[in-house]
Amino acid sequence: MAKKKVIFILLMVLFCSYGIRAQGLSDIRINEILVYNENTCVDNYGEHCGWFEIYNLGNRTINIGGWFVTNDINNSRKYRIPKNDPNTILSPGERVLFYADGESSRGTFHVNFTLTDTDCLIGDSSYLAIYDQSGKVLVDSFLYSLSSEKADVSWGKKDDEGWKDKNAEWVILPEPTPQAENVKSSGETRAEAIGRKDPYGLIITLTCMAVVFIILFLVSVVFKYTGKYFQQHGNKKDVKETVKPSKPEVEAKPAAGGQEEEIAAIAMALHMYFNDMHEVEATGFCLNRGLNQHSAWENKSMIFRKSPIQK
Amino acid sequence: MGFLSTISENIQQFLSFTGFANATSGHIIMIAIGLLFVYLGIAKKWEPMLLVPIGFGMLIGNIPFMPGFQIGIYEDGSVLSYLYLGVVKGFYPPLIFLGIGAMTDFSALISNPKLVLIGAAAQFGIFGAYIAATLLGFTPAEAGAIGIIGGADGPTAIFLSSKLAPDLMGAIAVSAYSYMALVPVIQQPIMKLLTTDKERRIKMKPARTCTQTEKIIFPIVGLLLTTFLVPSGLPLLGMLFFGNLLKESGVTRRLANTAANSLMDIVTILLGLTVGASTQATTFLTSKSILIFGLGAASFVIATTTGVLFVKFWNLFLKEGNKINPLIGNAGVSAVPDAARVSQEVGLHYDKTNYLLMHAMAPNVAGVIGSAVAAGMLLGFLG
Repeated sequence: MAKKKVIFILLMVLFCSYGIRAQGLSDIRINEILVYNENTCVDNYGEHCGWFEIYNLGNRTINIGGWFVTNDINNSRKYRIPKNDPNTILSPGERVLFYADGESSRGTFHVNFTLTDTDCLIGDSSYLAIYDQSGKVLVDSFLYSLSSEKADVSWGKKDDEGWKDKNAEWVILPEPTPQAENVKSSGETRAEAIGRKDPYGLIITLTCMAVVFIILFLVSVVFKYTGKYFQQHGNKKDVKETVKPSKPEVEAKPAAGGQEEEIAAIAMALHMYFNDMHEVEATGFCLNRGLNQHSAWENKSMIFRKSPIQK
Repeated sequence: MGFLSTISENIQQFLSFTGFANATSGHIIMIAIGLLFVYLGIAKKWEPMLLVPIGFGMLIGNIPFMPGFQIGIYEDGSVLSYLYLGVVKGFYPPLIFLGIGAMTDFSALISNPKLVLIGAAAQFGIFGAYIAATLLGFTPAEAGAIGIIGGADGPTAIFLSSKLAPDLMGAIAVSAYSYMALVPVIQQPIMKLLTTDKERRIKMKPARTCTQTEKIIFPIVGLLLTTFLVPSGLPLLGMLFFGNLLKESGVTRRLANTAANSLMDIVTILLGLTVGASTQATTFLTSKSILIFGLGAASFVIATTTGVLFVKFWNLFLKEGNKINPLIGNAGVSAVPDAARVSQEVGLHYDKTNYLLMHAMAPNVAGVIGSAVAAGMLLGFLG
């Protein structure tokens, strides 16, 4: 029985690990490629060169460090993406641009081949592919005809709005979109649709005002009844603290040091106020009774250890 | 000769880098506006906490320079662009809301919750401006960003415009803060125009004192009620109610003090300065900016009008003795506490014993919640 359990667990682990691995691979795709770059983005050396974009379309972070990119179908390990560069960790929805300038010494994202190489052609077509860290599992690839490529016109995968698909159709992008969404949805945005349906903003006004009123009405109702509850059942401590000090306390206790001055100051302020003798002030004033408001963190007696008493 | 010519070239090159060589009339106009803001803030004491940083930011943002040296706020990699990230990415406004929550005493609202509805009525200012902006040809997203000026809440205006219309954010932010500073000037004549002498003298019953427990419950229930219905308002409302819980819980006094003082001051400085600096003449001096200023003024007028008229309408159904002074209707716009202070001043002008401040604080703080909810709604629809 125990043996079966162990086998079952091992199988589950294997299954899950395969699933995780498979998901990671299926979430990475070659998203856009520009062979002849004359006027689009420049690399970090200020140079125009062909580029391709890798995109993580999944919902989890994937590190493509250690993976391979190549333009040679017979050499899947042509350029190994350096492993220890944090920029190779792609968050969900993140894109990264590789410059195909044949100058891999220039950094992680400069590969050691160009997109115009003619020594790796497959028939008339050029090839671009990305492989996993084993160099054996093909993650994604793209074939393009070098002779028909135009300057500053890229190929990109076209997604439907809100839906990313690894096998989305490749389309020509007259305006390349490096590190940005490839094709803007041909449909309307939500704001445009609202503008068309409600050109004068009346519907949105009524809807939003209704919601604002409902929410504040709910707040009003909740606190009306909460207030009633606390007025009827409120604990005595609360009432004692917040309503007023008990009468005998005031009468029995003679004004402590400094309290007479406070009363005199308040009386004087009121007198001046009602007789228009006060200065014009931007704000009111309050008398700080100087209560100890320190928390335990700043209370020295709580922080410092007492000196040991020698006997 | 070669030596002298090199020196001459260097001097010429240096001169071409100076502000004098790169100045345009736009820069001069914006510097003049910045100086005006600084003057109004210091000499007239009109919202100095806002106008001084914004005005000085305008000076910083409009010093002419040769582009390409990572100096300007819109240049990638410049120090100012990093400071401006808080505006662009919208993380300064929620921090400001945290401070507002930690400073605000909602007891006026809790003790007299029916006055909350006035805060809802005043939000018509937002949607009045929205309708006007769509009629003037702005896109729905732009109109939503402009409309929020009527919420009289600078952080909310910045937050929403950074999401809906980032290119108009400078004009919207400056417009919102300018009109907030001008609340006493804009609101008083409208309040006097729309009320009778008898109405202005209405004395309201003093509100009951609420307990500490009610004050603690308020931010929790308030958060759940508002954000379950409008989750898009979460960044602002979440921070507002969190700040308030820090204040009212009584056990996190240090955190509340930091949120309400140090943090609030730091973020206000950064926000004011960078919003001011974002008004570079090249991006700010456009016909759209002028329209935005006009729409901003209209939104404040509409908000004040609807707030006052709503109270007058409500009074038709209230018994004598329970009536509400319509002078607190203006306080539904969320310029806290300026709008409530205007109610108090106008009320005292007509009756020296009629103190409206605490009554007006209820719609005033409700306005903060209402404008954040309205912003969340607009973001949900148009974002």
